[in-house]
Amino acid sequence: MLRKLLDKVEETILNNEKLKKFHPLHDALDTFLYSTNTETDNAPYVRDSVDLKRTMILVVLALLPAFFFGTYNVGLQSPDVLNKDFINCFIYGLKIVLPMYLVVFAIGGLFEALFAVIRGHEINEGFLVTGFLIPLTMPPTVPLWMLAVATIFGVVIGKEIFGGTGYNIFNPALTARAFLFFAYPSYMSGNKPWIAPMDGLSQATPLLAKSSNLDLGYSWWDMFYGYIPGSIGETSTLAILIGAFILLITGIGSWRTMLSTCIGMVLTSLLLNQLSGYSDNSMLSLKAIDHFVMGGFAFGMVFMATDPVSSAHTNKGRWMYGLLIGFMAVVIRCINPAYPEGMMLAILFANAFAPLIDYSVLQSHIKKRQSANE
Amino acid sequence: MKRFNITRGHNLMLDGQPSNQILDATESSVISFHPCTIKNIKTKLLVKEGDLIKIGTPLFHDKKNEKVLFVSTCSGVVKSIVFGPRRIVESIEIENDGKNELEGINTDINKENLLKSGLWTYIRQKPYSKIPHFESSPKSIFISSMPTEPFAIDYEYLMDNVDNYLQEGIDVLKTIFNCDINFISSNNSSFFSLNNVKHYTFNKLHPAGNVGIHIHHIDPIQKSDDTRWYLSLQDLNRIGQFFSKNGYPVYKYVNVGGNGVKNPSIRKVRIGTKINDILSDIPKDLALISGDVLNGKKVIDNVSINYHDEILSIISIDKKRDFLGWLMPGFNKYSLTNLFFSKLIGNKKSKLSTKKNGSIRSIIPMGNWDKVMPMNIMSEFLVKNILVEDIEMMEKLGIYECSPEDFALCSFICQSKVEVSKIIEEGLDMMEQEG
Repeated sequence: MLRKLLDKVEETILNNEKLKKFHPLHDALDTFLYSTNTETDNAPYVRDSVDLKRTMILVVLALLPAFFFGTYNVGLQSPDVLNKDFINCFIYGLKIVLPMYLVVFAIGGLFEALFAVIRGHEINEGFLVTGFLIPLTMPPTVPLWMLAVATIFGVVIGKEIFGGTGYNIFNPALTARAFLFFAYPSYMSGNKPWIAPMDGLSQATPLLAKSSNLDLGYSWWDMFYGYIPGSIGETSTLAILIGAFILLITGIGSWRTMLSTCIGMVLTSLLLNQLSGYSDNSMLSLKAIDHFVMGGFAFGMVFMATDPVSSAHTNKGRWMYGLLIGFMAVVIRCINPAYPEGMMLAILFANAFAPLIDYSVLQSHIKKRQSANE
Repeated sequence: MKRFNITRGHNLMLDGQPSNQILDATESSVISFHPCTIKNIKTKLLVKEGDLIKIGTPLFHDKKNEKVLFVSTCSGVVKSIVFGPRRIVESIEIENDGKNELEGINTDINKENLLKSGLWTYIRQKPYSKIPHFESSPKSIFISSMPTEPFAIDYEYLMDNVDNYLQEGIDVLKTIFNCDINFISSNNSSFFSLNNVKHYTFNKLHPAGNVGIHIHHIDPIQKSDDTRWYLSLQDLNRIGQFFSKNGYPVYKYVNVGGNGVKNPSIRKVRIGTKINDILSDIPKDLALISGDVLNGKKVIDNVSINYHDEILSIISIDKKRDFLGWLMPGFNKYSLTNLFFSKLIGNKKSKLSTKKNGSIRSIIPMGNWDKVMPMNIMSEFLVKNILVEDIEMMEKLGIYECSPEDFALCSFICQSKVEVSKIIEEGLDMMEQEG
């Protein structure tokens, strides 16, 4: 019955000149509910079952552990929640996180649809992941209007002005975060984001505390499991690693990018550890293993750096790209006095360099071809 | 002998794999040729309706390549010639009188007789996969005895069961062209005993059986005019048969397969036999593909299969739409990716239909193309440069080494449903026009 209704609506839309341009909206709903039955009109006449919807939904699946733990952790970290049992914390977290998702998908979806209608192409599934990522990169206290503005910025400036999913230079979710980071810094870092809405008790993230030579008394395992304050999705390294496992076995996330980001981080922190004796900057002595569980390193490495569009496109390039992210993340964290968290900026920086990295890989490929031919 | 081991590729598991059994197709009363389906030729007719012709009588030639003749494979009367838009010749139909009278063609081994016999038309060149010009000569010739595309003929079986003139064929080519003949077979092949050729082996992982892959690994093409020639094993056999004075080879072996065929097997058919004469009562709701499912062309049943094809694939058309298909575990989905549960239980011989299984999206480099591309070609950048028509970059990235069929699996696996092989073909057309 639903199928018949959808077909009838489609017919009406296609037969009406004025409504015709809204066909992408119908198409989005139609292909969301039912898989397409378009036929191949040229070779190869048979095709793999995979499509972009399936790919993107699996990224969302990989994000779910971080989402669920993050939601619980919002309640756990909030001074408002007195009874810290799991259900209580989770419900409190949902009350904060769900409105964020509602805002992001409503506003972001609206702009996606707008561009699809104007350009006359189908709505791309890429926003599914971007929209799922944006709230997870935010502190739970971010005002919803800010989130809305950031989402618009991420979608329009981060993606649509370049031509939409597949053409963007920067990761749209990170572009959204970077926008808030620079436009409203006091809401994004420092002590304020972690102030609970009611009683004004302040809580800093372990990374921030460390950079201010404080120790909040969190153990490494606390940070690994994620019982620490931080952006919603970033705190639990364990949940993120479950996501990483899903991305790696499905082959969606590049293992080269993840591994090389790790290697870059480890090498750089080892180097800085050697220099820690010459400075009173306590960040220099932070071990690689701590960098891994603090702040957004793991989240950025698994979900942001591996974005296939904004990362390097060549396999060799992915190695360089990952190394650059690992290096920059630690350098910004340790040496830059202004920003305790370097992962977001490191990835955006590497995004900007990815085309250059690919260009050099391509040139060396061409040179090798030419010398082989001579 | 040099051995190559290809690791990137995939052998499609399809329902209706043809069995090793050779069936004689019934002799049909009408034989048809379709010049418009032959790549890259401008037809000049050499017969008109009502003409009496014999086996070996030239029917038409290419205006730019006038000594390369396409000849009749039966004797009888030219029944009809059908023209399409802009006077392209859609079909030439000949009423087969069954007498099998033969045009007198000299069988002395020389280039002139190869051209006159019409057997030259079975040779093709890379780049561009077209019939070579009669004045040109190859740097080397490639013959694959191990095609790997879906429903490909098992040549080891075929050559054991039909008259074998392969050595004669090789000797003819060697005498006429005096160039290297590279013979590619799979491991432990019975063809190793052939002389006068350079033997190479590849493992049977599609597209490792494609000539384009062999050329890339053995003797890569560097320039547009740096050509390699190739022909199929059974065409080599037919050349051998003709020049060893064993009659004009009017038959070829066609592998008929797919989930729409009752008795998938090898058919011995007169060249030019219509599909509905090869197979009777084909159900209406099936897709007929001349060639393999990865690189063929959709056809109707009232034509003969395309000139160079040796496979007829018949697969189902599926119009069913799955509710929330993207969300389901997908135990029965055929996929080369790890995105469905079917990966855990293995891709079963599946009912792959003509469904596209998704909508077209922009190119998103997930690395899937590379999984099935056994050449040192940066496919994503090549495709993008073809789309922006950057001829110079296409050349630098090795377009001359590429053929659409070698990229068919890239189109197959692409999650954005990018028509990779079609784009490669457009790129090659562009290069050819640029000259």
